[in-house]
Amino acid sequence: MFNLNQIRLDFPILNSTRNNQPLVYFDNAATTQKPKIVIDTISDFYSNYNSNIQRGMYFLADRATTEFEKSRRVVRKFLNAQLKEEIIFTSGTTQSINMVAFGFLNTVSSAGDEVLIGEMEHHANIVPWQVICDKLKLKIVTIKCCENGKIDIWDLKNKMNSKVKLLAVQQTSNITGHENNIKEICNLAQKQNIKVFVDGAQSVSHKPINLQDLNCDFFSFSGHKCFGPTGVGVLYGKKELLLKMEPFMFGGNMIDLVSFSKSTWGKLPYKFEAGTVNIAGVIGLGAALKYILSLGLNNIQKQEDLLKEKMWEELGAAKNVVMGLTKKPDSPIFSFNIKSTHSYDVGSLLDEMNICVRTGHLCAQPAIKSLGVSGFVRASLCFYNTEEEVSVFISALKRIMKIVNNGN
Amino acid sequence: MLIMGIEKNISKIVSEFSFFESWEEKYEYLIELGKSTPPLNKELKNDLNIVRGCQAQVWLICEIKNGKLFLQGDSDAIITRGLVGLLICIFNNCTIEEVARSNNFFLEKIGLSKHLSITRSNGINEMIKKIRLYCSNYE
Repeated sequence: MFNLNQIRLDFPILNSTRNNQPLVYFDNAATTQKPKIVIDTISDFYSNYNSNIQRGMYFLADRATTEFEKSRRVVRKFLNAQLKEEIIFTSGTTQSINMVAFGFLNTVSSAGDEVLIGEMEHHANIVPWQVICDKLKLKIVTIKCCENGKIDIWDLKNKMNSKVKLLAVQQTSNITGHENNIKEICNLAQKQNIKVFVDGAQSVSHKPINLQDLNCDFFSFSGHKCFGPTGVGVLYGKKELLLKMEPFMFGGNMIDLVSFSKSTWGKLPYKFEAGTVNIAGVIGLGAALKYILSLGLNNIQKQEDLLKEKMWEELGAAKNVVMGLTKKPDSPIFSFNIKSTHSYDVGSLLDEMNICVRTGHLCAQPAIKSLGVSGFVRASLCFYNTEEEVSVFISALKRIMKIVNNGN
Repeated sequence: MLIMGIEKNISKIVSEFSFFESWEEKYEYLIELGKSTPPLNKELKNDLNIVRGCQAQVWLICEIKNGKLFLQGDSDAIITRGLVGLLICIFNNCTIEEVARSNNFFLEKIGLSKHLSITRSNGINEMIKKIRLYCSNYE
């Protein structure tokens, strides 16, 4: 049973107000709010069993290690990965991408080879590839996107050849909310022996992920975008590729034997978890994913479909609103502009009404440019938002148009 | 009194703002100010005049005539352009010594930093810094 009122009580911040105005949080693509169970789990760790993992011989360390490894099993189940050692904890999607860029790409490529990137990617899925390609003398080739930000399969097919070693692509666009057909893309790539890295930052909180079905080579997401804490994320990689991949950071938990003449690395997944990792974050992430599973991603999708429908209809019908997408999005992410009004002005005025949205280039300058605008107002919703909030949002936009004298 | 001009300009704005009861009125005032601020010619909206650190694009031009500051500016966002207008009201025609020694307290006096979110991420501090630096380099 999906009881929205009850679920909203799970998120303390959703019941806050500013200047007597309830919070309307429509910036879920930037980060999501945290349910009490996640906050309590982190607090429980620090209050009752804070210790370093995998080393101490005492009770606390044993409990911390157990809870930490439980989270790995939760992530494996959540993504339906085959093996738990294919799940590596990172600080977030950005670190995950950097690890593959700096630890894997050199093992499959040589000077003159190519890396394919979708033109709608956000900065974290562009810049690490740019830097490493420059170092390894590889060429970055961008794949065109269709009008709603989906990879143009025809262009992708055209650009795949024996020189291409890796394709980096997002599952869901942080601008248009449209989803790429990852399974089809992986299928095509595999035929040409091209490895596929999937950025799942915008998809994990909205839909079930089945990695064994998608069959991508690498997948990553950030904890904070799916109701978990900041500073923790996941890199999934197929075991045979992770065995080949080199560590990107050295020291701490990742070592096996160390001497001044030579050191060796631990087994998977530990060889990629250098230093003392974000233990509380990992345990908190486990709690967040369990929370999502307890609500049920099918129920989440149903609620988000309602919100999507209402936003799509009412935002699309609002006078002077110019949508950044032509088809209803797969995830409830809506980028738009108000005619002759800068996104910054809209964001500032929404803020006065305690409505949080993202404005500007949305961390994807090339994508924004390809859509022919200088920026967007982005309202990104999730299951804990209500239809009433959508109504409040639409009236707020009308109020803004009046304030900037744009109403007629 | 050395800071007479700026103080006088600020108190004029403070008293205008004190009539507004709601945040909408404050914004409407700023937007009106933005609309009445003469736009910059296209060729002046260049990298030399741009002020970094704002989500919207802002251009400011400082000139000194007879020891006094003359400001021009523009922005592609109307609220930011209103803030440019506000700075013109405060600093225009003031002596360079006075501008170089001024501080940011007026933002609080006007009630901008307390009541309105616009002092976040709009780079008003960057604009003021640019103006003050220009004048102190000229001294």
